[in-house]
Amino acid sequence: MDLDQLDLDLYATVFDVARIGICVIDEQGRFVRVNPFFCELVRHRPEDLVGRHYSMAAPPAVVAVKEKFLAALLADSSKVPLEWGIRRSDGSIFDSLVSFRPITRADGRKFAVVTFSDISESKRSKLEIEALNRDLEQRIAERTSELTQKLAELTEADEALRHSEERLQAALAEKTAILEHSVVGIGLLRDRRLEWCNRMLEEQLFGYPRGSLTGKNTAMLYPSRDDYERLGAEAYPLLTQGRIYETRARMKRSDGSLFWCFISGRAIRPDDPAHGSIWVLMDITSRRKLEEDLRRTLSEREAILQSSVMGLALVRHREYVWVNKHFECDLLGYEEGELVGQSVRHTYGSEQAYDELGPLINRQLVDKGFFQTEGRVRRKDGSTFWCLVSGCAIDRRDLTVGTIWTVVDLTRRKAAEAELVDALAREKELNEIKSRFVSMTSHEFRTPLATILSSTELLADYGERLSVHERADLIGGIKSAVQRMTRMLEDILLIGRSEAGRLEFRPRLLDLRGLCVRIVDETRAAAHAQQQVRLQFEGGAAEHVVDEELLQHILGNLLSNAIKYSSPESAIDVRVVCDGGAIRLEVEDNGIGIPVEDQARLFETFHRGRNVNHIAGAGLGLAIVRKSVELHGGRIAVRSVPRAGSTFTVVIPEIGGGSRA
Amino acid sequence: MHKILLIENDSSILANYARVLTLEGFEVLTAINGIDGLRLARTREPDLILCDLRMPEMDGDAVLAALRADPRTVRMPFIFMTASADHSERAARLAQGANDYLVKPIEFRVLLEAIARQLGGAGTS
Repeated sequence: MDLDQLDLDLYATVFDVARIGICVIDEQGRFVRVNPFFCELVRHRPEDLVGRHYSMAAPPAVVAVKEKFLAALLADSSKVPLEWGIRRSDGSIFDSLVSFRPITRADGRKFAVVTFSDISESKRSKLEIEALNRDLEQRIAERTSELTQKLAELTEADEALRHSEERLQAALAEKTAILEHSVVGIGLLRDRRLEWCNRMLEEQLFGYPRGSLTGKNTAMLYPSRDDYERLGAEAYPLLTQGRIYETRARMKRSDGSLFWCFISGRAIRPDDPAHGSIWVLMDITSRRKLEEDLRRTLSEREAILQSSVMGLALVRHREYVWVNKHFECDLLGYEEGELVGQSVRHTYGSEQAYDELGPLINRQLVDKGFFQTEGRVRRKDGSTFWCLVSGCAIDRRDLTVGTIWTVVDLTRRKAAEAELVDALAREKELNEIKSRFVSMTSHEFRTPLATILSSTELLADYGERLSVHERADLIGGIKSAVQRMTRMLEDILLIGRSEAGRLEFRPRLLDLRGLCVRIVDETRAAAHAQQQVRLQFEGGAAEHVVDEELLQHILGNLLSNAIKYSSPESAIDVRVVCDGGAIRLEVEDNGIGIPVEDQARLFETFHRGRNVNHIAGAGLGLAIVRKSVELHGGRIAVRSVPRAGSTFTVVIPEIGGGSRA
Repeated sequence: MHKILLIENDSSILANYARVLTLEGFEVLTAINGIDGLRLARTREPDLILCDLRMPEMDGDAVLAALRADPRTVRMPFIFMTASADHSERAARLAQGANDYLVKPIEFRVLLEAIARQLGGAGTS
């Protein structure tokens, strides 16, 4: 095949199918050849382009210089730009990458061959890529800046971390030093082996060389295997619950000596025993000893307070906080422990006393810090008794701190006081009796003595000048005075015997009626009675067991009094009633009577009614009557109206064999 | 003849002293109680009064007080006669205006000497 033909075919094919636009422009600027892709690019049919001026597809900027541009193309000028805008049939312009070559034909005619490739896509892509690039670059710049900052921060953090770590190290060292030099023993146990322990625990507490206990089982620190097992059995259930185990136990030193230890332990992580437990041990031997001393002292104090003969109580907020047994049980009759917590109200003598005394006591405790009173204290059963109650504020500025109360039972003292008062009264009474006795003796003896003396002097010195009758009168006066003194002496001796308890009681069966008749007759005669004395008997009993002498004192004195203190014209009634066993004697007069205020003391020795005036008497008769009645086991009573009369009634009960009809 | 008023509630003593004083030459007025005695002292104006201390209704103290309250009898010699032996009473009675105080039983010699001291001479002047 002809190679030239082949070249031509090739060129023609390339011209027709190449995806670049190719056009050939003559010296007049007309398209002489256009390939299909060029037509596609400019969106013109080939027949519309060939023969036409190239400026139809040129942009306005090129159209304005179309001849000059054409000349430059044909001259292959380097001034022609490589990128042109191409105008399409619709007027739109697209960018195109251009290459051109002028060719000169053999006939000398010049042509410009121009090739176009549409670069609008690639240019847009390029622009996009450029924009993307710019964006990317910016983002990279930003990111870089961020990263730089982060890096700076990180560096700073790293610095801080390193610093913190240093501090941590220092703190750790410090902590370790603290743990190491702690005054308590500290140990880390794993599986009951000492992983680590401080110097205190190892050297001081247990007396081992430093480091020798590490890794050892702790059993060797216990007095016995049993102790070791027991503590373990107690502690580990608590530790696995996350609780602290505490105990006091005796531990064993390396030299075998034992010491008291306070032990507390706690798991590092309760859920995982593998982390071990931390134990703190404290030697409490001295504290234990102190505690024992304190306990002993306290129990001694308690014993002293408990054995106190005083009731003791500590009161706070008006409640018993502490009381001794004597106060609680002996004095107040509570069960032991029953009173604590109770209000003091229950032990006041009365609610009124509590209400009235309470504020007073508080005020005094604040003012003086001390309060004391004698008052009634109430027992559990409600009864009350006399006490000396003393209170002392622990701190008078603040009573809520409490007050200490001591309570002394005054029952016996009060009784003794009462006895003393009685004794004093008795003493006083005895003194009164004594002075009444002296006064009575003086008056009642000196008066008859004056009669006797004056009568004897008259008889001795003036006898010859007196008549026989006068002399006999004087002698009768002497005799009567002597009798009066004798009676008085007898009465005094009788009272003396009865006061000394030596008045004899000799009851025997007697004819009561006959006895009474005789006594009434003798008394009337002795008293020179002018009154009518009426003796009446009631009841059938004839004989009775009585003391004859005492009955004579009883009836004789009552009757002689009735005679002495009533007018000669009046009548006196003596009634003797014996119905059943008892005897009732009644002596009734219509005399001066006895003032009401004297009736109560009428039967006392030497006591006389204030209305007796000149009527002689020693105040002994009724005292003798009373004694005589009492010896019979009987009783005496008086009914009297001044200026109207008196009735004495004596009742003597049946004695021994009783009465006989 | 001096006139002596004797006030004494014991009839035996009154009779015996009246008898002696009469025999010794005095004119004797007697009263058995204070009321009668005071009346006689005012109406009969005796030269001297002998008076018991303890008497019913009006005792010796009351008689003395009444006499000393009356200008006519304020200086009338007055001698107490008493059976009370308490010597502290003597000073009290003298302070009340009694001129003497005699304790029973009284010997006649003592009684007459006391009267003579008050009347300034022998009993039978």
